[in-house]
Amino acid sequence: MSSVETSLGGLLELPGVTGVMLIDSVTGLTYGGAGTNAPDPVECGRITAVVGNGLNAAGAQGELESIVITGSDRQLVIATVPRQGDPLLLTAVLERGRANLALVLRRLNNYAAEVTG
Amino acid sequence: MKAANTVPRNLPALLAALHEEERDAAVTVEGTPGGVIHLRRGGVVAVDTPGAPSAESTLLKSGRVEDSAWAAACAAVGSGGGTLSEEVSRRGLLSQEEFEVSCTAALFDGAFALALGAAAEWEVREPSRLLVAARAFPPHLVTSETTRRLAVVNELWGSATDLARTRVRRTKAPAARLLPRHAAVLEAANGRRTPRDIAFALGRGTYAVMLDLAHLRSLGLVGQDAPPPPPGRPSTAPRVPDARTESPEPAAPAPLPQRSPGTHQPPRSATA
Repeated sequence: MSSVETSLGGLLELPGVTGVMLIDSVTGLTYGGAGTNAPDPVECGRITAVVGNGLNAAGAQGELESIVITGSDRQLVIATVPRQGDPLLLTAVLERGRANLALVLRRLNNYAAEVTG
Repeated sequence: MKAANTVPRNLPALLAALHEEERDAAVTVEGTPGGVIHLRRGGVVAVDTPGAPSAESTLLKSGRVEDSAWAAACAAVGSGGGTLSEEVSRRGLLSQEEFEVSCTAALFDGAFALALGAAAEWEVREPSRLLVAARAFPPHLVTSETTRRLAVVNELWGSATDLARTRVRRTKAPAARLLPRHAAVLEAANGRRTPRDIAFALGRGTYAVMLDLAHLRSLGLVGQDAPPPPPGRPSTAPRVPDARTESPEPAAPAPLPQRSPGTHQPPRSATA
């Protein structure tokens, strides 16, 4: 069993979280996932690159922490996981009516800190 | 159908057959860059190739783990039980997740680098002792991801194979505000390094460096020198065009040495 997928499974215990993934922000490679409704990892990487490059060009270098895309029923959270080396992305798909976005963001940050030491 | 009964038509077919048989093996691929694909129970656990940095190389070169701490962890695993993943985690060097992430990234990067050369010949050998490996992936996943990466680079740059042999040079255009990793690649693009060289210098993946070079080229910040000729037999053509237009006359064939029955000494004509 993958260490990544085992630990990601713990995030599904949060109310309203239906799927999580850990992906490479540069290559789009998926390192692991749990749950359902996983977004396209390459698209997540592209979205983050567009926003991150735009912020960087505007002078806000390294300030991108997360992106939240809200639909009528669901939300997609893309959180950056900075590390020494190419950064990772932690994505979570939420049921909008059940999930507590602030709690999810906090747990994603905690998970990122645990993974990168 | 078993691999032992038929000759696989290509490398993916060989890996699929070995996966079906759940074999432990090391598949040595000849060529440039060439490499070794390590299989455990039919799954790909590592790809070693000079065309891409290994997980160990990226962890050490990027400064994520200190050389001495890494060496001590490897020595501890070598003298005792357990895995390197458990050992580096126990020592607080890396979490097991980050170790797995590094190994997985290096695996797919190695497969991509291997695909940049023609895999004309391969050999299935006994599995070698493998220290730096984590998760196993079915070969078809490795193949499909490699195909996707080749298509992406082909679309962004033109030819992934050409880019792999290109020594990329920084242009004189003024640099805009860049992400730190883009700035590092730009700094490393000194006209003497290929993407693979930059990847080794920075402790990053070859594919990731190629993507960043494509981004920098879209900003007009890097250019390429003419790619060198493809590797193969060294050229024996003269460097300067020869004025001679006619072929020289072939030398007259020398007589073959004659055997001299009754003596162990070669005839004088053969020693002259």
